This record gives sequence, C-alpha cells and structure tokens, in this order.
Amino acid sequence: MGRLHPIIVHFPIGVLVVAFFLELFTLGNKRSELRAGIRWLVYIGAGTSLVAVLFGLMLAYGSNYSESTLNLHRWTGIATAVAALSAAGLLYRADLSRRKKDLNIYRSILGLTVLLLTFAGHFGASLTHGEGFISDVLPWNHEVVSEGEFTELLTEVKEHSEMGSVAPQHLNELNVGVRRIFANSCYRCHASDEMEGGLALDSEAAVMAGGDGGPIITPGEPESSELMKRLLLPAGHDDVMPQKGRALFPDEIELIQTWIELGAHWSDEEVLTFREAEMALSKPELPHSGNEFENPVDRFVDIYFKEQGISWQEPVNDTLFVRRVYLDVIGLLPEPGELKEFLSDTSANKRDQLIESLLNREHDYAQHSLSFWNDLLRNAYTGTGFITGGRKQITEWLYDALENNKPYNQMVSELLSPGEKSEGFIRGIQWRGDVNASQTTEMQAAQNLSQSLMGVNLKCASCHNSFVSNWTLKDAYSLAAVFSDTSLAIERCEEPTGDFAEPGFLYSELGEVDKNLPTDDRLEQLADIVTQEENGRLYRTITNRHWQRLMGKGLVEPVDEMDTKPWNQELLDWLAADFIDHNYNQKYLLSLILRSRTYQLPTVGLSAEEARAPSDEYVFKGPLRKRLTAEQFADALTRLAVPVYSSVAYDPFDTRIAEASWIWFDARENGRPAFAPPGQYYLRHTFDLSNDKIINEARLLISADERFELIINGESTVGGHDWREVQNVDVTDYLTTGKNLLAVKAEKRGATAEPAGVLLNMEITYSDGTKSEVRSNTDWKINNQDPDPDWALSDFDDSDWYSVRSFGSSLDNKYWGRLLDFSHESTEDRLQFVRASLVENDDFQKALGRPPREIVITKRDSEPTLLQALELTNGEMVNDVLSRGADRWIREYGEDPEELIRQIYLRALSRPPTGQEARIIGKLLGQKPNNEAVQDLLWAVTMKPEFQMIY
Amino acid sequence: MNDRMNRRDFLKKTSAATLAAMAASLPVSSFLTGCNTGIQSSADTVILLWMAGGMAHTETFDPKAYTPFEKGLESKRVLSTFPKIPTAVDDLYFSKGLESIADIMDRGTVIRSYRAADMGHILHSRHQYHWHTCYEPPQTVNVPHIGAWIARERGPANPVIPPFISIGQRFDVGESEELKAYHTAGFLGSEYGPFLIPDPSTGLDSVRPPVGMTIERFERRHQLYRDLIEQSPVGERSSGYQKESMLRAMERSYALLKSPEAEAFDLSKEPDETYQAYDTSRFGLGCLLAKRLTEAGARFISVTTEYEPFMGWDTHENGHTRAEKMKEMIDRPIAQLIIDLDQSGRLDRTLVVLASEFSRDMMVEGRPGQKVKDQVEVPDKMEDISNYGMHRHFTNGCSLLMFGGGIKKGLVYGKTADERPCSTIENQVGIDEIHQTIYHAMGIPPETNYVIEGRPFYTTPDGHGEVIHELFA
Repeated sequence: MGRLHPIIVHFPIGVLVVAFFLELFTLGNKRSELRAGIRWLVYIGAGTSLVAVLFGLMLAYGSNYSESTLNLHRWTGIATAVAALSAAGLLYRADLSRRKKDLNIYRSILGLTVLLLTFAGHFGASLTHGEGFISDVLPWNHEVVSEGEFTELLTEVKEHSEMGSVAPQHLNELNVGVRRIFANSCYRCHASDEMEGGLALDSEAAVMAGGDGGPIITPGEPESSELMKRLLLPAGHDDVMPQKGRALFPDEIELIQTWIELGAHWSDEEVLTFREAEMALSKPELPHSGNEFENPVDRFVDIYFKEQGISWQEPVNDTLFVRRVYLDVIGLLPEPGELKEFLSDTSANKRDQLIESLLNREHDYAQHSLSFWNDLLRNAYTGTGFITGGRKQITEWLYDALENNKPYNQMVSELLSPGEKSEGFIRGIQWRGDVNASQTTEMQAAQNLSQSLMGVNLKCASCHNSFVSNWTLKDAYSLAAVFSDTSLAIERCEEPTGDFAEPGFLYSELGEVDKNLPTDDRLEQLADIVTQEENGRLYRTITNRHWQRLMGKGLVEPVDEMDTKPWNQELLDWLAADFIDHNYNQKYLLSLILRSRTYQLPTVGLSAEEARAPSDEYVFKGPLRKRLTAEQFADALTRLAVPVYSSVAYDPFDTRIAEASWIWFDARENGRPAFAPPGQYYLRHTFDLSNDKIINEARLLISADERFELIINGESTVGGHDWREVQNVDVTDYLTTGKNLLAVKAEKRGATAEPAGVLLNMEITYSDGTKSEVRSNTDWKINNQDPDPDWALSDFDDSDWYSVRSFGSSLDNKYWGRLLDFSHESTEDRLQFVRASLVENDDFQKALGRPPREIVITKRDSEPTLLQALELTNGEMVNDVLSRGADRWIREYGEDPEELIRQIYLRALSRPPTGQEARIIGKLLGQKPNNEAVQDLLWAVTMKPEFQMIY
Repeated sequence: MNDRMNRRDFLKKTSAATLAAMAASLPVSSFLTGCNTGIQSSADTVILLWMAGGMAHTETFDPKAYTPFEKGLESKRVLSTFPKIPTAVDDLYFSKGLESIADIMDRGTVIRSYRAADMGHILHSRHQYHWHTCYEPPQTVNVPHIGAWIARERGPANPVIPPFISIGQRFDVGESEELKAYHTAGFLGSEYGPFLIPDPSTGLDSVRPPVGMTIERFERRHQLYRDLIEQSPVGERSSGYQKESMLRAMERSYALLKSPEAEAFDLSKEPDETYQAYDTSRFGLGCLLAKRLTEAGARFISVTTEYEPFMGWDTHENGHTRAEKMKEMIDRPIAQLIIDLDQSGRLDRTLVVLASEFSRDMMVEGRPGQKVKDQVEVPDKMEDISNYGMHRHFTNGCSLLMFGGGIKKGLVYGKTADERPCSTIENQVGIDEIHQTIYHAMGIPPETNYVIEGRPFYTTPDGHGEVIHELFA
C-alpha cells in the first residue's frame, strides 16, 4: 500500500497550492465567490495530506532510501499534514465566527502549509529521483571518499599517540588520507592548474607555502591553522571551505586535525586518489560446484548467488530462449521454420547445438556484430571529415575479421600497427581547420585506444591532470606521442607548457617505447606491448564488453571505467584468462557464456537508477531485458514485412552493379546547380541496333525517384513508384533493328525541390555470345513541358530539348546509394537482404538509437522518447514498409485470416497468438482482410514491448 | 460514453510510476523546483532566425560608405554595395532593402560587434557547429545544440509540442554530415533533440496521423495496440523503466498526433492576409510557423534561410544581386513576426535572435592580419557586376539582432570601424557571451551542466560565458 504514496501525495500538493492561490485572489475582499470552492479544496487537501503521510510512513518502513534525506522528508511531510489540518480547522472556525482576524490566522497557516509543502516536495523529489537528481547539477558527483572511512585509522593513531609514539607508517597513512581528501574536495579550486586565492594543495611545497593570505598550516597547532579555521566555520559562512561540493565528513575533519597536530608530516608515497584495477589477472581456481553446474560461469555465479542469498530460477522456456539467442548472436528473428525445427528437436543438448550453429553462420554473425564494432571503433560510412579525405573507413578489414573470427590479440595488433585497410582507427578524424590540442589526430588515437580497448578514460587528461582518475596530462601526451611523426609539445588547456612529450604506453610496467624508432616501428612496438598476455586489462575489457552485450550490464560498469570494482572479480578474471588460454577466440568466449544457465535465466527489468548504477553497487540477478537495437528492429521489419533497405553502403559480397548514371533535369539557381522543382518530366534516348547480329535476350533494369513509366518504341513497358524497387524486365520483344527509342515519363512529387532521377541499364546478349549495353547517361534528352503527343516515338525531333544532368553513378551514389538489385547477376550469391548494419544511418535508425559515429560509443542511448514514438507512429518509412508488407501477407494468406494471424505472430513474436488475441484480431480483419487492416495489425504487433524487447 | 471507457482503460494501463511522473510534470513541480534555478527568466521561448552561409554586416545591419557599381571600379574602394536607409531609431541606419525591419528597430537591439572564433581554415559548418553548440569542433563527446539544452532545462511548455523545433534545413545538401553533427541533443539524449521540419508548408504532416490515414482508423489502430498489450501473455506491463517509458512515449505520441494543438503546425489555418505577409519563401513561411509554435508552447525554434554550399547567404559571386534577393526574402517576414508577437503580447516573453556564423567582405578573407586560403578571386578592377559584392569570409565584426524577452528597445550595442577592415572596435562579444545571454533570458544559470564520463560539461565552456547585462532592459 505504501507504494501508492507517490500518487496520493500529488493530490494534496495540487489541491493545497490551488487553494492557496485562490485564497490570494480573495485578499482585500475581492472574489468572495471563490470561498466556497476554496473551502472544499482545503478540507480535501487536509484529508488527503493525512492519507499521504500514512502511506509515506508505510513506504519508508523498510526502504533503503538515504536516511538523512528521508528524515527531512518525513518530518517536513508530517509538519505539512499538521499545518494543513490546522488550516482546515481554522478555516472552519473562521467560517463560524465570520471574524476577519480568524480568517487571517487561517490564511497565514495555509501559507505556511504551502511553504512546508514546498520543502517536503523538494526532499521527496530528491528521494525518488535519487541523489543524482540533486547532485547532477553539482559539478562534482564522483564520490571517492565515503563517510567513516577514516574512523578506524583515527582510533589506532589516537591509541598510539596517547602512549606517546606514533609509528612512521601511521603518519604516512594519515598524510595519504589527507591528500585523498584534498584531491576529492579541494583540487577543483586549489591545484597547480587552478589556484584560487593563490593556493594549491597538490604538492608538499604548495601546501606548506600556503595562499595569498599566508600559510594555511601551523604544524602541531591545529587551532591556529587557517585551514582548520576555515573548515570549522558554520555552513553558509562566506569563508567556509569547501565552497563547492559537500561539506567534509566529521571523520575527514578529524583526520586533518590529527595530521596537523602530529606535525603535518608529508609522506613520500604516491597517492592514488582513485581506485585502480590490477594489471595482472588473478587466476582464481575454478570452483567445484557439486554435480549441479558444469559451466564455469554458473559455478562462479552459484557462489555469488549463495553469498547474496539469491536462489536460482528455472531457465527460460525454449520459445523465449530461441528468440533471445537468435537476436543476440545473429541479430535476426528466427524464421518460423527454424523455430519449429528447434522446438520439435528432442535431444538434450539442443540448446548448445543451436548456439554453435548460430555462431557458425559467419555472415549473419558478422553483419550483426558489425554494429557493435563500428560503434566501438568509431567506424562509419558517412560523417564529418570524409568530405576532405580527413577520415578513413576500416569496414572491409573489420568485416573480414568478424567473418573469420580473427583472434582478438591479432585484431588489436592490426588496429594499432595497421595496414592500409585498418589504419582508419588510429588516423582519427581531421575536420578541416585548426583543432584544439586535445583533439589532434594523435591525441584522438590515444583517447580511442584507451577507451575502446583498455576501458580507461584519457579525455580529461588530454587537457589537464584529470580530476576523476589518476591520469595526468603527461600520461596522455606520452601515449599520443607514440602515434606522432614529430615531437609533441605539451599544452595544458590550450596553453603551451614548454615541455615535450616522451612516447610511452600508459602502463610503463608493460614495457618501454623506444623514442628513437621511426613511427611505424614504434607502433609495432606499441602493438606488442598492448597485446601481450601480461596486459590483463586489455582482455578483461573485451571480456567485460561481451558479457555486457549478452547480459545487458557488464561485470564492470561503466564499461569504459575498468578501474571500477566488478560485481564479481573472480568470474571476470577467470573468463579473461580462459579467453587468453583459448587463443583469444571471441566466439569461444561468447559460446561459453551463452551455454551457461546464467545466460538462460529469465530476464530482469530494472529501474532507471538501477540500470545506471556502477558495478560496485549492483546486484546481479539475471540478464537484463534488452531493447532491440535500431538495426535489429529494422531487420525484424524486413523479415516481417518487406526489405526496409535496398542500397548498401558496404556490400561484403561485392555484387557487380550495372553501371549507369542517375539523370534528371539540369536546374540552376544563381548559376549553380540546384534541385529541379517537383513535377512531370520527359526523358528520351535513341540508339541504333545493327541488323548484322541476332539478339538472344535484352534485359533492362530501371529505377526512378519517384514515379515512372517506360515506353520503348511507343509501347508502354513497365512502370514503378518507388526507386527502391528496381524493375528487371525482359524487353527483347520490344526492340527492333535500326533506330530504337527509350522514353521515360517521370514525376517527382511533393512541394520542395528534392533529389530526383532515373537510372537505367539494358544489357543485350547476341547469339554470338557478345554483349552490348545501353545506359542512362548525359546523352539523354529531357523536357519539363507538356510535350507533343508523339514525343515517345523514335522519329520525334528532340533537338530543342535539354541535356540531362548526371546526379552520380549507380555504383556509389550520394542520394540513392548503391542499389543492390541494380545488377544483372543472379541473386544466388548475394546478400539475402540489405541488413541495417550495412547502410548509412538514417532518420529511422537514428530515432531508435543508432549513434552518429563521431566519437567512440560503447553503450547506446536506448531510452524510448517522444521523437522516437513519433517516428514509429507516423514515420513515412515504417508505414510504407508495413503497407507493402501487408500486400505480401494478403497475397500469401489473404484467403485464410486465421493462418495469417498465426503466421504473423510466429514470425514477429516466435509464438502463436492466444485464443483471446486471435479473437481480437480476427474481429478487426474479418473474413477478407484488406491492406489497411493487415497493415494496422503489423503496426500494433511491432509496437508491442514484446516485439521490441528481448525477454 | 466510449470516451470515458477509453480513459478508464488508459488509466488502468498506466502504471503507478507513470501516473506519478505525469503528476510530477504538472505545474506544481515546476513551482517546487523553481526555487533552485536562482535567476529570474525574462523569456519563455527563443526563436533563432539563422542567416545561413555568412551574412555580410556591411550589406545589412551595419552599412558603410556606399560605392555604386561602374565598370573599372577598384575593388578595394567598395565597403558597401547598397545605400543606407534610416530606421525607427534616431541615428541608426541599415542597408537598403531592409525597410520593414528598419521600421521596427524601436522594439529591439542591434549588436554590431560579434567576433566569430579563429579556427584556422574558415569552414561554414565548423563555425555553425561552434555557433550552435558554443564548442569548437571536434569534441571528445557529442555536444548538444543550444536548443537541446534549453529543451532540457525548461522542458516543454506544452506536453504535446516538442520543445526544440528546427525549421527549414534539408539534410541532403552538401556538407550534410557536418550539419547533422550539431543538429543533435548529443549526450543529453535524443529526448531533447530537434524536431525537424525541413519544409514548413508540410510541417503538419509530421504531427498528424500518417498521410492517407483517417482519424478513425488511426484511433482503431491504437486501440488494437492497447488491446494486444492488455491481452499479452508475457506480462508486458511488468517492471522495467525501458518498457514503461516505451508505453509512455507511445501514449504521448498518440496524444500529440490527435491533439487539436497540432493545428499549430497547420499554416492553412492562418488568414489569407497574414499568410501573404510571410509568403516570400520557405524561410518566410518558417517565420509564420515559428509564430504559431510560439503560441502553442515550443521552447526553442530555429528558422533558417538554409545552408547549402554556395547558396543563400554564401555568396562567392554576384554578391550584390544575391544579397538584394536575400534581403527581399527575409525583410518582410521577420518584421511581421516581430509585429505579430508584439501585438499578441508575446514578444515580452519571446526572445528573437537573428544571427549568422560569420560575416563577409570584398577584400579580406578571415581575420585581418591572418592569411588563409582564398575562396575566390577578386579582381583589382571590376569589369562585371558579378564581381560586385562581398565574396570573402570575414570573422571580425558580425551583426546580430535581438528582440523581446527582456531585451532593450532601440539599443545599438558595439561598433565596427568605418574603414576596411570594418572590424569590431567597441564592446566585442563572442559566442560564449551570446549563449550565456540567451540562457540568462531563459532563466538558466551559468553553472548549468551535465555530468558526462565523470566530469561536468557546462552550457558554455567551463561555465565561464558572461551575460551581456547591458542588453537587458
């Protein structure tokens, strides 16, 4: 019942606030007609606030809200209810007495109620929206010191100092603690690159020197130390420290005090302010887990579950499993046939077999994984930089690596010490003009290597020593220098420091980079350093990423902050070591996880806060319910309706596309080429066929944006209204010897000038085996006027017609891409269909979370939004695909609506409809389903969370 | 009857958390959170009129000595190719062709001292990125457009109208990838991203049921969707924030597409007379749409003359003739927009900003004293009128206009020299100040930031942008 608190609580808020405002209107004896309404509002407000408080107390009982905020909320809430009840009582009294004075008392109490309400609401909001709701707007939200952390140390030190001797080790620990506090709470304003009040706290000399106002520390005398004075000032005082961020915890203040008291000793130890993961993989023993668990993943998780008091649930049923594993491994929905085959299979290890067979579908696997890797390695088909050659794709190399399951160490090696096809990764993006020192291509390479491959963030440190990690400016420049042909001058926040960077890798214990080597050799050395087995971090990072892809949340989270404590260090390290032992084989790793019972557990839905929680605060209960990615969604639509895409940005099969130009009217604006206004256009092309040869066959490919009718020698041949559907027709019988004419009547609709064009290629095969071609090209003529009726006849005089303009080739077109069906080759050795991962990003995929690949993306924004819902509800693409899909379904099952429903459900949701579902849909479809009804059904099914989520 | 059933049904389907969230979005909560924004807003909406391609200050709002064209005219003698005209403000002159805007300058401010950043090679899209995001490209994170920040900080004024709307830019023109790079909410999340309307006359299509679908069918289709979720055996309403927000987003989209407020996007609802007054071009109609959307409750609306390399304001030849046409395109609609907003009383709370990524000059490419690659050949002596105009990119001395939203009326801020190079000589402002001034008007404090990858990312670099307080009344 307590959970109703958040709903109920808004009721008194609304009612009382309105009452208060209405009350304001009545001041000065105006608007007395409002009185009756206000009366009810106050009574209702008072009553419901009481209810809200009761529910609130129930909710608070046993909750794990932060205690201090909860207390504030609790007491302000109760005070509000008390005030509201008093206001109601006072109003009642004022109504009886009709005395002005009573009315005013009531008014002031009502005012107080609203004021209290404001505070209660404010604290309540911080509770429900999480601390982040408040601290998101603070510049500092990364807590590395927790309250009470130093209590133990303080007690020990005190004991010793009472006995008169404090060990050097304790003095060191004291100092290290103090420095951590400085780093966490003070560096923001007082560090060598930001010295407010002339004070820096990041070195011994600076601390002892003090600030503009003189020394801040008098060793041995905390009372007279300026630092202590400032820390102890009351909150809100002008001079209190820290001015930004939270106040220091009592034990922090005490620690500083004790440190000064004992002489403010400075330790030689390096202070690591932030947690760092171990370099080496701990090689834990594989736990024995009785006979119950075979899979190593399960053995670790079993121990974890026991520790957490979580009991194993049954694995999901076959239907859920099959849909999940298809989507996770190859990114496609299972076809009804595949589904049936799996469900009827009775062998005990059929799940393992399915996993292996899916992993072995090399192209499907590569086309699915490609999206993850493109995001990770910032590889895109289009984007900034390409326009001036300042960027290079690695698609071909990447696809090949995935298709052939290249060992991971080799992949990394080829990225860092690249050949021509993989150099795009370290070459970065050069967008014309000057860039910040922190965004030179060398620095981009350093940042991307760190983030994508090592799971550490070097971005802050490429401008100044990081405030959120231990990385320094020097570390970042050293790594950048490895990629640089010239020596790199170090700049701090765009100001030269006068120092030059020495090339080196982030972790010097892994090996030195020889600065005297030429760049290529240096890169080879870097690749060796990074990929060596001892670099546990590299392999932990990729292991964690694969875990995250399958389970929804990593063993370490955030996945790019690998120094965060994992929720299960043993499991992570064991998997990473096992991955190395199995020759860096990524499919092996995936298979191991997929076969585990852990992966096959029912999915868990998280709250937004839980989903954001770092791994050291996260409790694993099972894989998360994931959302289909943009690519999975588009491919699912293709399977369910008709192909969403027809042009490829990258074609792994390299199908030979017929050559031709997209041609259209050559419109000009200010003397420059522009798009032609929409409307009807007429195109003509005459050609001669000699009578020496006998034509065996003539095949013609044509596409137009957007409507067209093809007329050959006066005879209407074929038409179309969608450029994505290439018409492939046998036109042998339309041709004659001598002069022939191809005429196209084409139309571009709409209100604005947009790209339009006609694309045509005719291949004529003669009896002697030779071939010839006729193509759309700049020899064609075009007219935008209503022409003479016999314009489509071959002897019509078109000498006053215009020449067409070419809008680019069929092979690689800016507007229409590379149209896969525009090919005379047989369809057998081609892509089955154009997977969404192989096309440029578009509005649809963008709305569904496919990122622009301008920076490395390791986790997509999968939050459903209004813009996304609009795209799905009235977006042209979705409705067009579903409408054409409906035609297909009617052609196939139009006579049998029941079967149609069943098949749509099987295909979309991998299950048959329930009786109730079938009845609802049956009513809509009727006995003779029409396009609209089927389209609407397809839409409703694809909008269901059941379709869009992986259960 | 039927309606009530639907509503109950809807309530039943909507989880407790959704209801709480809906309740939390009522004005009460803005009243509650209002206390910690710290600064008073003077505007509720921003309209950005974007002069894409580099509008020459000397040909528009900061005219200099006029030299008419004649054969053999020395290029270096030309500062402006139009005569001056008076404005409604004493001693303030604009360039000929901007008579309508000149007449309303007693309602706004002209800033004549904007200096665009120095980014080496002057590339439109990089300067546009900088203008719209306040950060120089490239960046290590996806940086949000100013409209996205405002959408996030101020939220929708009307739950069914997208808060950030961008009108007039098509993305199949040249440099489209670069254009896309800043038309984004970046790390703030696509929720705050721009609602794109390339063609204002078809804007309505994006907020109505799909083209060709009757409202009855649209409702039926949505009902089927709800019924199927209700009947689903897999528990589609079980916990999980993603699913909840998915259902919520679908309901919001449904509400918007059916909402009478979507008529704000329908220009045919305007009386003929008003429509005519704006109908100079897509840009003019964009201004009309911006007016309607302001009334409907959008937060940030940009209307662009549209960027396309070598088109619009991007004059590399025939500069004079083309500037004349561009002025014809913008003059009446902009003035009309200000007048209409003023008459309806909305101008007080609507900040209208006119700006461009940089300016142009006939002789100087880039910043005075700095040599960059010439985009165009300028002859010493002009033989043809096609040489007459501002054909080179110039960054130091651009003009902006601001109206409404608490901005002073009749103010001239900043000054450029009267001799070449006509650079800023007084009150220089940069993009950080412009952004902070807009945020200030919207009541968004300078320390507003978003924590990304563990570090705060501010609306202006390090939160250091200064408000130009002199601009406010």
